[in-house]
Amino acid sequence: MELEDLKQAVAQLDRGIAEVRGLSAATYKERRLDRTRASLRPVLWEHAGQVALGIVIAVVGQLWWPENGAPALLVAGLALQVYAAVMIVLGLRVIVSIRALDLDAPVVEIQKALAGLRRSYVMTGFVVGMPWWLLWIPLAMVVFGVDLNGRFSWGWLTTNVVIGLAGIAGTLWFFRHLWIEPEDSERRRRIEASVSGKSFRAAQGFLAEIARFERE
Amino acid sequence: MTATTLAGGDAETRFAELLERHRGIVFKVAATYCRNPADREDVAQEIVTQLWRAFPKFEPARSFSTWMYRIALNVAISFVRTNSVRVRHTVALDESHDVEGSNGGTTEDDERTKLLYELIDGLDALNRALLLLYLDERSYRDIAAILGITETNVATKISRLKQRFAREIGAQ
Repeated sequence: MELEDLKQAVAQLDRGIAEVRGLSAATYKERRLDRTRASLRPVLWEHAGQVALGIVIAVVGQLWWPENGAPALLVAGLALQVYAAVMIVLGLRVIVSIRALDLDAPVVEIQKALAGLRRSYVMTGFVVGMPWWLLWIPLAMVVFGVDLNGRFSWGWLTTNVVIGLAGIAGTLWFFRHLWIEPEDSERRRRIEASVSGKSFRAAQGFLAEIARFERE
Repeated sequence: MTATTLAGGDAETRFAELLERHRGIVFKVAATYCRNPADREDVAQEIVTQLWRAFPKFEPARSFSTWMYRIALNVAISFVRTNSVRVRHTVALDESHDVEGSNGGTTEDDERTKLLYELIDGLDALNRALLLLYLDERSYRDIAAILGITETNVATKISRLKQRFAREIGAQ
């Protein structure tokens, strides 16, 4: 038997599911399913929340620093503004990508975009979270007011900056090693498994599957 | 499908006509990715929902079946990926129902259907799409356009599928 001999079986596939009801006007007018987009809704909401939080941080940063001429407070306020801008831009980028998903695009293209979105859902969390190793310092300075000779002594500031920088260095080292590992390496799989959720691993796996499909 | 054909009647009527004419694509894609009848029904309805949502952007100059295949495959693959655990658990329970005489055909038909499902089960989501398109007698050009790969790549992959099938048949 040849592969061509299965063409008849494919032609009969629809007969086997004749019980599928209502592929008629009633089906598409109900519009209650839409699971394809519903599965992306958590990603959409998380990034909408990120944009909202970015706006709050931008407002908090702006409320305090212009009224006080202290250079340290100015730097702290600016740091918050820059971080807020990055948060908003990254969040909007994902939201726009989800809204722009067009299911009539070629299968490989759209499946790659979907898997990429699911992966970015996890990665954005790391990118947005990492600066907080340091960012809580300017936030505390902005919210509570800068008093480097009192509550926020130089010793306190230096200690926390050093701890924060060490944390960032450690996080960056980790990601550098994660990203330079080949997609199908066992080491990379173990690293990802230790830090990420099932959805991230599934998205990574599917991206690798798509890459193989395009390459072979 | 031409612009003239689409010009008459309202969008809903046109959509219903086109859906009726090409509904086999919806069923075939659903059957390729889901063995459980409830999942197949969900996927088929989800495909139709997404087709209807996308219909206002459909350009009549394009092939309706190619456009339909793209959406149907994207929906089915996304469904299987988001529901993979549930789908895996239910496949075994419904497998026999699909194969044994469900087509109302001959024993030879049933044997072909069984072989088809065995082949499908051994393939990943994208190769399943390729197999379905090939067996549904789409041209290499159409397959390349639907999947978003080159015609050369399509030819190579189909050649490999044939070899794989021959090996598996030989091993049985």
